[in-house]
Amino acid sequence: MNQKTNIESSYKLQANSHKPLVNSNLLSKMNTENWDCKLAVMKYAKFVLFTFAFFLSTFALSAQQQRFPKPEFDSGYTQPSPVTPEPRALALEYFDVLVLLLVLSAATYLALKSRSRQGILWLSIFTLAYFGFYRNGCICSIGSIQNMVLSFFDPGYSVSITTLLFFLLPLLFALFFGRVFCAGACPLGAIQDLVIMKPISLPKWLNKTLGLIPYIYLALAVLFAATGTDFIICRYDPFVGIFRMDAKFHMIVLGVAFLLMGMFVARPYCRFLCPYGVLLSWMSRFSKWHLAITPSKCIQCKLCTTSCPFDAIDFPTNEKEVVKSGLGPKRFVTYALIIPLWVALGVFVGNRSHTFLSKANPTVYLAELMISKPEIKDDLDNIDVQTFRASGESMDELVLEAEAIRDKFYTGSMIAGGFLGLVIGMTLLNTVVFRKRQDYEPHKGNCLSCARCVDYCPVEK
Amino acid sequence: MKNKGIVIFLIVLAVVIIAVMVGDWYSKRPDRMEANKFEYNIEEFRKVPEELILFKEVKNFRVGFENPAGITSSGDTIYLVGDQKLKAIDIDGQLLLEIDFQDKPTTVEVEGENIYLAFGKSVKVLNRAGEIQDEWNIEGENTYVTAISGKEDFVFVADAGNRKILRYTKNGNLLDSFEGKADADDLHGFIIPSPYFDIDVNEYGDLWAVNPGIHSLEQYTDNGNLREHWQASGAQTENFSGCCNPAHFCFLEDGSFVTSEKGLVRIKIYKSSGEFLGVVAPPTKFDDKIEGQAPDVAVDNKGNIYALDFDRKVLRVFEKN
Amino acid sequence: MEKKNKAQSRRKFIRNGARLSLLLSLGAVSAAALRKVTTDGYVWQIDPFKCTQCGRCATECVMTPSAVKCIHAFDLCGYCDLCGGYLKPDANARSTAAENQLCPTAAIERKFIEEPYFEYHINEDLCIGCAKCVKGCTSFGNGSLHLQIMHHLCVNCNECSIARVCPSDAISRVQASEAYKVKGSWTNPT
Repeated sequence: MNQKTNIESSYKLQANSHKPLVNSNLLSKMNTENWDCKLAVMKYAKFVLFTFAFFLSTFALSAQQQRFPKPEFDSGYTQPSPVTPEPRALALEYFDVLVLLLVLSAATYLALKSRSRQGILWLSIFTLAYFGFYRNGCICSIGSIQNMVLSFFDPGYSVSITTLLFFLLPLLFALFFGRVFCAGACPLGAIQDLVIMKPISLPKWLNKTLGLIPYIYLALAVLFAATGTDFIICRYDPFVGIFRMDAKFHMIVLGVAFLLMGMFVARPYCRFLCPYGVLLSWMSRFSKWHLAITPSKCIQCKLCTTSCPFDAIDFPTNEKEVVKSGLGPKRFVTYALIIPLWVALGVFVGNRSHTFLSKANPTVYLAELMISKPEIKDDLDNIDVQTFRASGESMDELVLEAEAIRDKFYTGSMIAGGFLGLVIGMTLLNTVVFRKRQDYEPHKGNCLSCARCVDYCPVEK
Repeated sequence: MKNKGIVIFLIVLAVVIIAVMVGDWYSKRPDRMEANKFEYNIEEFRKVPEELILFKEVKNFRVGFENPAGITSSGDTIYLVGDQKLKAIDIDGQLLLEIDFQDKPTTVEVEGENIYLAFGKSVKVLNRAGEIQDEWNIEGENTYVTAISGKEDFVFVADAGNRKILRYTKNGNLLDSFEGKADADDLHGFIIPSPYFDIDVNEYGDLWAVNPGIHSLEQYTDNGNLREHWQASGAQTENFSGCCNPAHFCFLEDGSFVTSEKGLVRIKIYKSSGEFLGVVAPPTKFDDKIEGQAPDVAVDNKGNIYALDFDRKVLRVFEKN
Repeated sequence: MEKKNKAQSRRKFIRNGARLSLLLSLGAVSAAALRKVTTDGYVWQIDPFKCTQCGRCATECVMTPSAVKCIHAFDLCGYCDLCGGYLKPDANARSTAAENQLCPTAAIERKFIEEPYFEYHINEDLCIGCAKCVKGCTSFGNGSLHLQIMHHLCVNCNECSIARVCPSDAISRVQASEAYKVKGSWTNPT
């Protein structure tokens, strides 16, 4: 990165010219005694003048073009004006928020109050139709994380009120009622929910390990959004192509692969990828109210466990087994004590990988490319390199810009690494935490409030 | 294992998902993206055979203008306008004269004892020492003067905005104006789609004007009757490309035309009959920009060609090989 | 029994505390965002003065054909017979014959108005946003043809997939109330 290559084309003749230049003539006409001290001032003034004139010149050029009179037509021809259809009305955007609020309320009512699986099913079909196929999966709460992050880090960008509400409302509902958003208001969840055919139960270790991916995805999404690099959540949204019924081939492959997978592993995207699910899960763990499997006392019939396709029902704890397995305070303390080690490891890994991660940024990548392969500047088919060369920006400026971005990645990836270390440590700690449970209960973090178990529960009110 | 088939199926899907994500991630990088399928390709016209290039660049001067505007020559003195200044230099680049103005001059012409400067809607007349003698205002909302040319008795002013050539006496009386309309079937008067409209008077006192809309050069009598014309349309080296070309032209002593084009920037020479003679500076000599500007051209008494390069802000001198 | 109650109430207290702190952090996040929130929506648009006509608008848009179309600023057009955006650079005649047309989909329609003027009109259904004509018009003409994102076609992705690969960063978010940057009526502010 420190190495700087001279890629700008130089005007050879100009450099070799021995003839006096008009500019230098002007200079020599000045008093030669205070020439030296004037030089610095001149240099600066020249720079200011140049930038000013540069802005002025681009403006003048376009202004001149516009001022130049059109032909005068004798045949009574009237000039049409270009047609510019307006974007979607703002009122409709607000209407979307209203729909979201209504759907969330309905999902809450259906999951917690009327306890109707069928109701939730119809609600998710509505969501799929409205937010999915009608609104083309955009705007979506999952992607709004990146808009929020970008608005914090990019002074030129401020989030719109609709996006803010799309980000906030599901989290608020999760904090009070559990993940009702996942149950009925998320089009991505709805489409996956409909294809569940023969869900298989994953082993616990696999469930936990795959459950870490959303944290990694979230950390990367925030890192890339904060550095203004990319919106990876939107870029790899597997179903948006299906909602739009028009997409690049690889997007369709991705969507179909997820749906096929979803036939046997219920809602694979929601459980093992969705970064918004991480936030919802945090909220839902402390939710004030939550969907309950039984309306009154549990009769330990275990019917609900077979109904849950997401392995989100916790079994009653068997105290004898716990004692035998040696889980207890001792291991808890050990696992708690090694959390700082996990964090330190995460920071280290983040530090090591920041160079690699920063290459995701187009500016950094271009700078690296032009330094490592200087011959690429002659490749006329390389659009990015040729555009850069034609832009008049110097290699030094590009390198400086890239270095500034890489600095952001340096801090950002260490924070992200530390966060992931903490998550791993806490996940491990969780495996040895002993919580007394007498009944079959939904895991509040993982339960998507789909109310399938409610249907299976034989207990009447 | 119970669901062996399903597990294998799932693993395959997981691999597909990862492959698609990683593949997409790496495919959108500058060195892996495909070339422009819809390239507007003029490369073949940028190449000019060596034997057609009759001139070579011998030197160049930084003119010290942020926005150069025009050039003309008189004997061995070169007059340049740009920014809010008029500068006169000798052929070695020594500054002889520098005058500041309130407005931006758009073009300059030297004829006899006078220097004529156009400022959009007016013409200022200066003596050779740079003192203002007279100012002619040209009426009209659309007036935009792009060129001035003089002969012994008259001064012609090209008004691109109104698509007219105005004829003045030396002391500023407007005699008449004409729009170049003629009986000939293939001419329609001046078609000037953008502010490029050059005129010049050659050694024999003939007034020539560019009709940029149809790629032709037309000779008019003093009172605006078309006498002769020639046309060369096309992107090929021997023709004028695109729209509004040639944007600038001037004469060599023998009456040959030195033409300068925008877009596909090049300077060429045509015989007085309009027959293509050769190239002064091929497109490869200029910056490869989307909106390449046509350099303004002038010829000194030694037959050297001066091109004012607006993109590089440099005065470039070409000498016969 | 009393012990159990105590444990339960302690747990409840912790949960309430956690919920309150989560609520407060959500409040803090939204307050921070609200400080510079905008009530207007965002849409994507191309700055015609930055565009370098690289052709990616035709290939990278999630829509097929692209939501980017060529737009004609009639204000700037010279209504020429020899149009750099309509005719191939090596066209052998100034006619509407297909072999002379620059546009790969023949989306530019040419209409005779009066001697010697012609009107050029973009057929939006045929235009694929490749910018070939834009380059021809900008290099050789007045630059009246230019690309714009048409908002009745654009699905307004959260991140525009063309913007991601635009080599000149010409595509950016703009306020929905000023959704177009049409040359002529919109002037480059810099």
